[in-house]
Amino acid sequence: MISVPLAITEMVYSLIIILLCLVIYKKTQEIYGLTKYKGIYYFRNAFLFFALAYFFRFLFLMFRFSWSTFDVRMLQGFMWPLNLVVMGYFGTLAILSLTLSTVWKRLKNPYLSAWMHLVSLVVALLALITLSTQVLLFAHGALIVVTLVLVHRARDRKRKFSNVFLIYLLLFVFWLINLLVLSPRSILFIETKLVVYLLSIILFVVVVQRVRKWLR
Amino acid sequence: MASVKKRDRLEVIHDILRIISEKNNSIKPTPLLRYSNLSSQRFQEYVLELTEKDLIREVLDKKERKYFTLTDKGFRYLEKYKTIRGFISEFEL
Repeated sequence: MISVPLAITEMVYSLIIILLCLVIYKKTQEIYGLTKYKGIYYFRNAFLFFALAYFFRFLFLMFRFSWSTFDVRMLQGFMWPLNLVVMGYFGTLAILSLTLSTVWKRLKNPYLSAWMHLVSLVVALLALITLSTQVLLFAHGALIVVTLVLVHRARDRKRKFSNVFLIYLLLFVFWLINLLVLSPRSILFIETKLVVYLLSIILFVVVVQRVRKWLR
Repeated sequence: MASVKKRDRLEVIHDILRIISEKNNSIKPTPLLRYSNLSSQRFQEYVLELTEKDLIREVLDKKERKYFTLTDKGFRYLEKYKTIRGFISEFEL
């Protein structure tokens, strides 16, 4: 059950993250319009998808809050699975887009976007069949491990580990922790959640600052 | 012998736009082809791409001779090129 202060915390946290993601998307609009560069395309889309994933994660939590507080049972049959599926879909797209933004040159495949959506659909379908946040958490965890291994193999030998790689890794890890919070048997205490949320916001602010360094 | 690094797409586009800009924003196709250091086929592909993206436009003078000029978007690309490069490098895109 979610208390009112926790619901407000979730709302503020989600709004901040969504806003930061949209700032990144908006800031990169002009340079993408000028160049149509694929790396920028995947990069900015990753943050649009993160914004959508965090938005549906927030809705998911709010619906759970509504049932426990107002006993709105009729929503349970429809809105809860819908949010889980959509969140799974956009979360997968965000992970894959951010990964592709750094390795698209080396993967000489003209159908990368199609593959990305196909994998996201499979993950969303898995979430729909199982209706479990834990399954989604494991699916995204496995996906992140696989993509990181691929990135590690595809990148230049000299640049195998960089600040950017670390930031992307942390973005993925925090997304997984955000999914973990959704689990009905979440083991995280409220204090731990707050620290995670704060660190997550700091991480997104770091990305925004790096974007703003070039695109004021 | 010093090795010559192959230009990427963004750099080739920058070079074409810079050449047009340096020639008082008006250059005929043949000198542009020569200065841009591309094969004829690649040059045609780039010209088509840049025209479609509204970075350059073809204009005809009174004698029906063809010239290339930059659009506002083309000038903006030149202006932003260093920023674009910096951004791509910053995020390893």
